[in-house]
Parts: sequence; structure tokens; C-alpha cells
Amino acid sequence: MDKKNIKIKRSSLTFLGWTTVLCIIPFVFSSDYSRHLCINALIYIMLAQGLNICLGYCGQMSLGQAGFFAIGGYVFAILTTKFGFFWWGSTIIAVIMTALVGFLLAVIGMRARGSAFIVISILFARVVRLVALNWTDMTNGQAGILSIPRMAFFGNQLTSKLSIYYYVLIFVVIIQFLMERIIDSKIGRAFVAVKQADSLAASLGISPYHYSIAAFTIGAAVSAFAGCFHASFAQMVSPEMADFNNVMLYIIMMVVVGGRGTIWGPVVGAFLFTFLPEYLRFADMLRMPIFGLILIFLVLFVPDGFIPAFTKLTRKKK
Amino acid sequence: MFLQLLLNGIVLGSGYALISIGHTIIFGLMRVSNFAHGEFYMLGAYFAFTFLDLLGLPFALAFFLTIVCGIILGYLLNRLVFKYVRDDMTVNGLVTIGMSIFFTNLAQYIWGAQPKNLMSPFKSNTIFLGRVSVTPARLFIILASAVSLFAFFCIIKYTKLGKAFRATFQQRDAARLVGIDSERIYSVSTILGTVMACIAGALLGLAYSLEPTMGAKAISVSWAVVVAGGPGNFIGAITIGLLMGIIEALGGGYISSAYKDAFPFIILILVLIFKPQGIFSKGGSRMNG
Repeated sequence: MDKKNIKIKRSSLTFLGWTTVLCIIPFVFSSDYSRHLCINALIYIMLAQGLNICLGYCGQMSLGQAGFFAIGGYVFAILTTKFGFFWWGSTIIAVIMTALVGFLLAVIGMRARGSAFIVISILFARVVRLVALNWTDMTNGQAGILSIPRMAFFGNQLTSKLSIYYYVLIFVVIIQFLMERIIDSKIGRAFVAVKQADSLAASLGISPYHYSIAAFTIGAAVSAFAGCFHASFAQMVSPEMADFNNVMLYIIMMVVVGGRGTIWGPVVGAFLFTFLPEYLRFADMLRMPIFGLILIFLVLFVPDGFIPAFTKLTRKKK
Repeated sequence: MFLQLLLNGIVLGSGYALISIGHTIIFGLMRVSNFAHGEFYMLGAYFAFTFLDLLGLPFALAFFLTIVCGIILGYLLNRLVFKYVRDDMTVNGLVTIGMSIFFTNLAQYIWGAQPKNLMSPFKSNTIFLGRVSVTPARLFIILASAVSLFAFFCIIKYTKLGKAFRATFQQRDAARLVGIDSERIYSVSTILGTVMACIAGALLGLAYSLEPTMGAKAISVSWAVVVAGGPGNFIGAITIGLLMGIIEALGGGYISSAYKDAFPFIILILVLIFKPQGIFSKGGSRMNG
């Protein structure tokens, strides 16, 4: 029992450590624009964790998370602007609806686990984008939906970037905590079993099909949650939310370069890939090609991601 | 109208078939999930644009030089990148995603984001075959695709290189044991795959306009074709590629033009649900995260 106590203490310390860092960040990057980026990074943490649950812990790569991001955002936007529904009610409905869609997609698609499912997920996101573009009655098409209300804390509208940052941070920390609890539970261990050796897991009575569906649905719900926050912060939604190049690419890089299968990897990844394009702005037209090259090199030399590499290094020193 | 749409679909489908065959070679043989394959297609079109429009070279020469560029591109890709990331699908997937970003934006930097058109050497008068109208350019696309695919199959079936290729494909280690240099085969396959995509780009560029982002649609279709047909399955790639083009044209014409991109995909989802291994393959292959 002593070992378990040490383990709990260590992981609590890490958790507190990271949370403290996240609290301090808006004072390190204190310009208004930087804080804006920080809030975006927080939202992307949630979005990336959606992928992380599926990919990092359950082993199923999905390229459609942006689709859930968009659906969550759009449902939230439509409920708050067209129907005047209140903030939290809209969020809850958006998350539930998106989780349902994710669930259905998983039920249909997980029978073709592996490479086929990845293609299904790609197509899903493309279809979401097409619908957002063309169902103009509901979604306003290319223009998107505007004037979405910002968050409010017990009735007071939040206006300063700092206050919004901390508001979103509360939920990010909650999600991080929930993830840690899930991973450490029976369900989490089942996920890992499915990821590492699915036939073996099946022989032990752990059904890869059912657990993949669970992982995927949870991932969809978390991504939708992020979508609601994004809709509220950016105060608009557009079909680009489901776009592969604008959104999905970044999520993948955040999870993989940050460290898939770790709780804090996507946090590092989210901040890294929110700030990196900004720092490359000086290169102007060559900014994106350089970004691509950086990605290539990072993946070649740090294939497991930064957090696992760091963990390996610190362990070696001992 | 049906025949007209069918013809347009075949034109589009030939392009898809060429792209997908390149993709399935690279994926099937070297287990490289190449997300940049759409960019090879795009680069093929822009190479052709450079030679044909910017340099004003005669058509045959421009086309030939495009193929040469494709060969060089394929060789460099294998030597500099693929060689190090074969078999680990998540890693090479990410590397190729990075390549995709790199190429798309580099193309935008070099050639600009405005849509371009290839100067077609064919007169633009429409020929009427019964009730179907077609431009000479489109006929050429179908013809040239057929010739390219035929050439590809001849290489695979009748040359010594082709035999070595097939051997490596079936059983990598056994092929090595009989003295086949796998590195050379990998190099050749990358080159073949890249050239196929470049040809597709140059051909379809005759009928459609060029944009740096044209690879995005191409890669989605290509992936769908490769998975549905079965990785490494050439007949599957060609058949399903053609089918995708036809379904897209028919769906776009009869049901909805706005959603036309979705039709081949919806059909594909149905296929994958009922036969996840792909329509043509025998065994299953999994991609692990």
C-alpha cells in the first residue's frame, strides 16, 4: 500500500505543478493578444484531449475530431442566437447531441477498426463541413453565425481576457482531473489493453468494439465542449471549424508532438502549436512552409512526443 | 444527360484512378501513410503549368519534363524522408502531414494563390458523339490515363524490375534472400507512385483549374479508394477510383451539386460497414495509433 501512496502523492504533485504553471501563464504572456492566444490554447487543450482519449489511450486514430468541434459549436451557436437559450443549457444540449452523433458514428464505424475507421472519420468531418456550408437556413452558410454571447460568471458578463482565461481554466482543470480519474480506473485500463493488444484483451473479456465506442464517444463529447467555448469566445462559428487544415492538423500535432497517451502532453502541444505559428510570423510568406518543416523534424526526432521524451530523460538521470 | 454525366465521371475517375494507384503502391509496399500524396498531384499540375504556360514549351515536351520532375521528386522523397520512416504508420503519417503543409504553402509562395489554367494545346471546340458533348482535352485525359495505366501494368508484369517489385510486395524478406535489393525497389515504387500522381495532376489540369489547395480533395478521395480497394491492390484502386469519379458526377448531376463531394464518400462508408477489409482484398490490415 505504501507504493500506491507514493504514486498518488507524485501524481497529485504533478497535477498541482501543472495547474500552477497554467495559472501563472497569463502573467508571463501578458499582452492582450498573447492572452487571447492563451485562451485559444486552453480551448485547444480540451479539443486535443478529445483526440488523446481515442488515439493515445485507446489506440484508435481519428481524423474527424474537428467535425465534433464544429457540431458542438454550431448547436451552441444556434441555440443561443436563434432560440435565445441560456449559456449552460445550450452547452449541455450541444455536448449531448454531439456525443450522440459520435456514438452513432462509432457504432457504425468501429466494426471496421483501424485504417478503415480513419477514412470514415475523415469523411465525417468533410460532410460536417459541407452541411455547415450548404444548410444555409440553419447555419448561414459560408458567413457563419455571429454575435454569440460571451461567458458569464454567476450573472456577470466576463469581458477582460484575464477573467475569461481563468474561467476557461477552471473547466480545463476539471477535464484534466476527470481524465486522470478515468485513465486510472478500470475503464482506462481496458482502453490501454485494447490499444496494446486487442486480441489479448478480447480473450480476457474486454470487448475492443465496445470500449472503442466508449472512448470515441467521450472524445466527441469533450471536443464538443471545446466547440461551445470556442463559439462563445470567438463569438462566431463558421464552416472552417470542421476544416482539416485549419483545425484537425493542429490537434494531431498537439497530441502527437506533445505526447499521446499522457495527460499533460496535449497541454504542452496546445500551447506550442498555438504560439509557434505566431512566432513564425516574421517569415511572412514562408511561415507555413517552415511550420511544415518544423513538424517533420519534430516527428522524426521526438516521435513519442515531448512529455514522454522528458520523462525518459529524467528517469535515465536517476 | 446520363451519358454526359457518365463521361464526365469517367474523366474525373481516370484521374482518381491514377492518383490512387500511386498512393496504394506507397502505402501497400512501404506502409507509408502518405498524407502528402494529394500534393504530388498538385505539384504535377503546377510543373505542367510551369513548362507549358510560363516557359511556353510545346505540349509533348512539357508533359515529358513534368514526368521527369515527378521522377526526381519521387527519388528525393524516398532518399530523404521515406527511407527513415517506413512501417511506423503514425510517425510517417505525421511526417507526410508536415510535408503536405510544406508543399501546399510552398506552392502558394511560388505560384501564388490565384487559380490558374493550363494552356490547352487542344482546340476547344466540342465534339459531339451522339447526345454527348466532349472537348478534345477530356478525351485526351481518358486516353492518356489509359495509356499510363497500361504502361504501368506492362512494367509490373513483363519487366525484370516488375518481377522484383512483385516479389518484394509479396514477401519482403524472401525477396531479399533471392538477391533483390529492397532499397532499389522502394526507390522505384516511390518514383512510380509519385509519377502517377503527377501525371494525374497534369492531365486533370487540362480540364479543371489549378489551385495550391487542390491536393486536399485529391488526398481524401485517394485514401477512400485505397482503403476501399485494399492497400496495395492495384485493380481495386483503378476500379474504385473510376467508380468514385462516376458516382461524384452522377450524384452531382442528379441529386445535388453542392453536396457532390459527399456522394462517393457516403457510398464508401456503406461499403466499409459491410466489408471493412475493402471490396477486393482477402485479409485485413490494421493501422495502429
